[in-house]
Amino acid sequence: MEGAFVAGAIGPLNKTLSLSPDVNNPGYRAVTFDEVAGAYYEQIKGLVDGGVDILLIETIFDTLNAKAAIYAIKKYFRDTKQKELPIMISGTITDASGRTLSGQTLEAFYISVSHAKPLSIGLNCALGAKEMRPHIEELSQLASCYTSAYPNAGLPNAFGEYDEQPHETAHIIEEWAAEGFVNIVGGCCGTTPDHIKHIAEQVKKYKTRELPALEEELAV
Amino acid sequence: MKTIHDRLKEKILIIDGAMGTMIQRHKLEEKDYRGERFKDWHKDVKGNNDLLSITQPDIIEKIHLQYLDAGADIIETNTFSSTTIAMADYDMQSLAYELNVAAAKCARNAVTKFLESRKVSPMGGGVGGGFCCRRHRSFK
Amino acid sequence: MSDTIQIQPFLRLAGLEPLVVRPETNFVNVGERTNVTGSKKFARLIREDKYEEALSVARQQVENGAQILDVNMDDALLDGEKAMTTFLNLLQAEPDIAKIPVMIDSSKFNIIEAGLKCVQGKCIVNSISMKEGEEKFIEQAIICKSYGASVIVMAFDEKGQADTQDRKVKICEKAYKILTEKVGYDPQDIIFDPNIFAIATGIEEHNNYGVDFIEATRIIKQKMPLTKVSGGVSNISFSFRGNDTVRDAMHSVFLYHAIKAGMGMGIVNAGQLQVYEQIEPQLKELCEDVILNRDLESTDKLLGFAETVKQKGKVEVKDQAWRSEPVEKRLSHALVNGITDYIDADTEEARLKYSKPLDVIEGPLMDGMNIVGDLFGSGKMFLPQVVKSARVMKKSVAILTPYIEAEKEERRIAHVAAGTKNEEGAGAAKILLATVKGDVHDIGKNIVGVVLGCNGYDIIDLGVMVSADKILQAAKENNVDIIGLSGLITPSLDEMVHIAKEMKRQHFEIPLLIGGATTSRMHTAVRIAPEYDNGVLHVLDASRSVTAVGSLLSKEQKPDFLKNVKVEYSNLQTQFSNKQKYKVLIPYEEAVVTKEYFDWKNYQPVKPAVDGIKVFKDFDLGTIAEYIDWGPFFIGWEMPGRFPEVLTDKIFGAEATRLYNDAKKMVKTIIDKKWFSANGTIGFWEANSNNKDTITLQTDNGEVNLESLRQQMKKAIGQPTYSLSDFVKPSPSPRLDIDSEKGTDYMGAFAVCIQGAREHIDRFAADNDEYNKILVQILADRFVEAFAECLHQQVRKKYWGYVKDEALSNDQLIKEEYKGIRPAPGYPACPDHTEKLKLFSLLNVTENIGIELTESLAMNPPASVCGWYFAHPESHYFGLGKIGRDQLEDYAKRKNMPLEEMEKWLRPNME
Repeated sequence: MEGAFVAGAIGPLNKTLSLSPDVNNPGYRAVTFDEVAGAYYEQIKGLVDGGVDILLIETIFDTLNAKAAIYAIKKYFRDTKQKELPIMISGTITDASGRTLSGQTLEAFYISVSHAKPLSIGLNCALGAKEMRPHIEELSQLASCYTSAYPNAGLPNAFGEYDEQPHETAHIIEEWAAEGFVNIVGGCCGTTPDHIKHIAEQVKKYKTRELPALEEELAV
Repeated sequence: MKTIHDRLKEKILIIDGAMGTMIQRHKLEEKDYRGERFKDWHKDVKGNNDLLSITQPDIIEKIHLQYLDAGADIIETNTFSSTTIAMADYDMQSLAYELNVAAAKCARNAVTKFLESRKVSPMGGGVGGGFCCRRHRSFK
Repeated sequence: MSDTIQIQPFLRLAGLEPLVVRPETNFVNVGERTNVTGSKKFARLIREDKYEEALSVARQQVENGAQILDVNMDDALLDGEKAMTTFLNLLQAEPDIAKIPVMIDSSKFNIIEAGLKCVQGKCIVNSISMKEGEEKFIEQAIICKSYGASVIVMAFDEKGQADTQDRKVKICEKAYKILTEKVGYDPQDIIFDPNIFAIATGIEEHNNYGVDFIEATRIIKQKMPLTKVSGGVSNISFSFRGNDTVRDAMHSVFLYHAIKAGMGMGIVNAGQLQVYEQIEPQLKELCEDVILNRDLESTDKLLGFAETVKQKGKVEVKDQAWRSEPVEKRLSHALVNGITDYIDADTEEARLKYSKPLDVIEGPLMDGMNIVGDLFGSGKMFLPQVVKSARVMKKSVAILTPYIEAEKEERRIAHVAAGTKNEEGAGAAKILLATVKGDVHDIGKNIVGVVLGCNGYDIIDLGVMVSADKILQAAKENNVDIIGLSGLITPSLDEMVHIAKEMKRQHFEIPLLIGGATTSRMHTAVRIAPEYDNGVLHVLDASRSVTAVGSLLSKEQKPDFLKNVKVEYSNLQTQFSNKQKYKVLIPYEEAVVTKEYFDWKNYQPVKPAVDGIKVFKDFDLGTIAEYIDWGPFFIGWEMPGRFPEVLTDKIFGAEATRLYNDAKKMVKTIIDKKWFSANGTIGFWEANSNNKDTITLQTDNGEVNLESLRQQMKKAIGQPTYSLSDFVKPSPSPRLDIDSEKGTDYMGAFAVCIQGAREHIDRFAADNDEYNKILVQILADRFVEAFAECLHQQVRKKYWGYVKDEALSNDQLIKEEYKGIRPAPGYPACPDHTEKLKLFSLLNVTENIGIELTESLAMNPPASVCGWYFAHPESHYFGLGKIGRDQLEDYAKRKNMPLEEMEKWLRPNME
């Protein structure tokens, strides 16, 4: 029978490893790699003990925090000698420049987390579907694994609220499906079950993105 | 049951939407967040959405169910900030592990209930403004 | 839907940007200078905690073409983990460096792991090996993999480092099997270092080390084609230490063969690689013999050759052999070596030999200058030498010019007589240079002019304080190919933006170069480039200007070059707007509250010994000269480094010493012949702050309010927001427990200048002596700074007298170890130039000592300094940084100036 899966959400933290919170002291860090990896390790233990099917590192705006999460996942499964759960990775492009908050380009970000051997790589949050399109297209060309995208319901209005309507979001995402950019889609800030329902209905008529062929030899 | 790999080969999978937006609709107050267990907690906890996995598990489970009914193949646990570091805001570092277990169970229960009630007609969601991961904007 | 995408098994690395090593990449340069074991300079900077400067070493590597940055902190005197962490964390804040991937280099695994914890990109670990056995190797490889790093595996096992071809290959194969089968590494993430050892050491067993490496590389690449082979190239030539000519040639020859065998990556000094084809043939042959071990005698032959290279260097001074060469060779020798002694006679001889005087310029002189240009471009000549070459060139041209003019006139007359049209050749490309309106500083511009002139361009120098109209009109009239603008003070930035806008409006199509101390790549990208579409480029220094101009004037290169600049600038623009977001400002009102508080209750202000104003005419130059800070002097000549260490620098020490001797000689002449006249004025007044940002002075003509600006950046808790006004005691206030009994506070001001330099600058210019012209100009700057320093000391000890017993060395003065400060309006602590107007009126500067202010408030003569004196023992220099609109509005109101005008003056601090 067709089941549903529980993804253990691993968020980005309010302290970052690549950015200094003190503008006068760019070398300062509010937290260490070991502290971050330790915090994630405990979270992962809880999620696995609670019975999740997948681990989802999401809303990544500092790649080094994500690398600490990956490090913690690898270590946890090594320590407990269990079979590793599939990992989904979802980064956040913070503006039109196409970079993460910690300054990486999308491709650099993907390369920097690809050692996780993730089930999927994707983008979420910060942008609406319209703004996310070029980046998800780029990612679909780069990624050797599955791709995911769950944008916000548009950009926030003057009151910080999201007012993109379910059919609007779904319409944009439908085009991604038609182009073969995506394997997993959904919503982030401001999206509701109604958005999800519209998205699900729009994309079900399209084939999922085909995984790229991984060459094992260099083409001559 | 099919694995996630099997399903990904077949179709575009659907992941759920915002948790925060849906929690907002319940218009919860400080006392709802605290529940019985944390009624004397020394810090305000309103806004600590992840805490609801312990204090209001029914609400969290219900939101998961709404997303499953809407067609989500993957639902995310309510654990965006369930780490010792993020929970320090509320002095709840020691709860990190428990929050994750509780949240995973809410999601698991929802999936179980959803699969049992599959034949019953699915219900839909509503429309509204939202909030989920904007919390990360406030750096320390 | 498209065809299935294919993903190739390339080595993929990342800094802020990706680095994908494709087969066509050929060779990846790994920058080696950020290595404490290999670079004395870098080691010193790290040991002395000078991380800012250490970062500039990294930046230099990137600019020289390094694609990966090797970072090594293995020094017994250092806490390696801490140094690695500090450096890499700081590096993350420098997007122009952090864009390339990092290679974390250490023989200690704990340092490697400390490094891995700091880098968000995908890096390379250099290195791990099986020297402590297989188990340890696997353990370390697993750790590297969980941080997502590629690894360099050194061909090293429990028996030691592999030296023969066979051992190298065997160890690498074994490591490959373990990494791919037991650890799960992808083959493309494995890099082998099969050990480059020194050859030509005199020990016979070492002779084949080059061949062993090259052949091992070939087999490794055949058997494991997805892996990479790398190595530390400079090891090969270790036995030729001290002889860079031979070393550089050996590196090039070695790389040429190793790359052909499949070496895809190497740790090199990116700035110093010689082109294989251009190695002197005999040297190349000898290097090949040694590296390929083709000749039993090869080591001895190369050693013999090395000796001759060394000797050449030594006898250069007295060698007059060149005088017996043909005239063309003599001219070229004179140009390359900057010798003017015989130039008149040699030029005359050449003129008589050639049929036309122009042929002398286009023939031997240009040939000589081309050599100079090439040597300079490849870092083998330094700026002072080039300027001397230019002097020779100009002198020679000056001799030929009258003959050329006479010929032209003859031709014109002939044409007129024959009724034909006069078609002179198009000639060299023309470059117009100018210091913009309101600015009088032109040393840098002059240097750029000389260097470009040396490279065969026709320079039209409009001088200083040139309005946009004049610049653009001259550009049209002369049909120039490039415009270059220079400026030193901040208002010049706006003027440059204005000129860019004008160029667009008037449909110019030529590129615009931006340079000068106040300019930056960021400002150019964000403010100037968007205003003009046909190419705007920031040029860091004279050396950089040559390549930039070359690319801009080449039809083939120009489109790509401009496209790259555009991409780079648009990235900078994005970075800039991103950065804006992190720069958190606090409200001005809040900043005032978090000001710096002193214990005023126990502070006893000192009444200055001088009451009112004191003027110094013809201050003793000998006294001033003792205070000269030579550091900036060498920076002016593009020879960075600390003084006196710069005199013994490995690369340009000899040239720096020569320059220093010339300068000392000129300083003596300046003093003896009274070339300069040093004039200055100081003044002191009763002063109180209003506990905010206004300081009120009591003068003979009533109260004068000085307005200061306050930092608004969000700071760590407990760190105050600074303003100069905090250093002056607030007016009596019972609430603050400040009474008037301890006396009122005081403040002072000064202005000093060096006059008389212009006459000598002009004289040298007329004599086509660019070298001495720039020398005297830079020395005038040094003198005026020294004067300010000297006077400040006398103020502290005598004229104000708040530290009567001060005894500080010149070095301590340069390090600003004295009490009290002398910040200058227009500079970081008080960037508003318009306060200079008050200073000038308080001291009656123009009337007393003759300094004038331009419309941009630059001081003329350029060798002028003015500033405020603060005496409080805790007063210190700081940079204002960015301020908010709220403060701007308040400040404009306080100064009674229109908001728009105020904003114009403070724009660099607003954005």
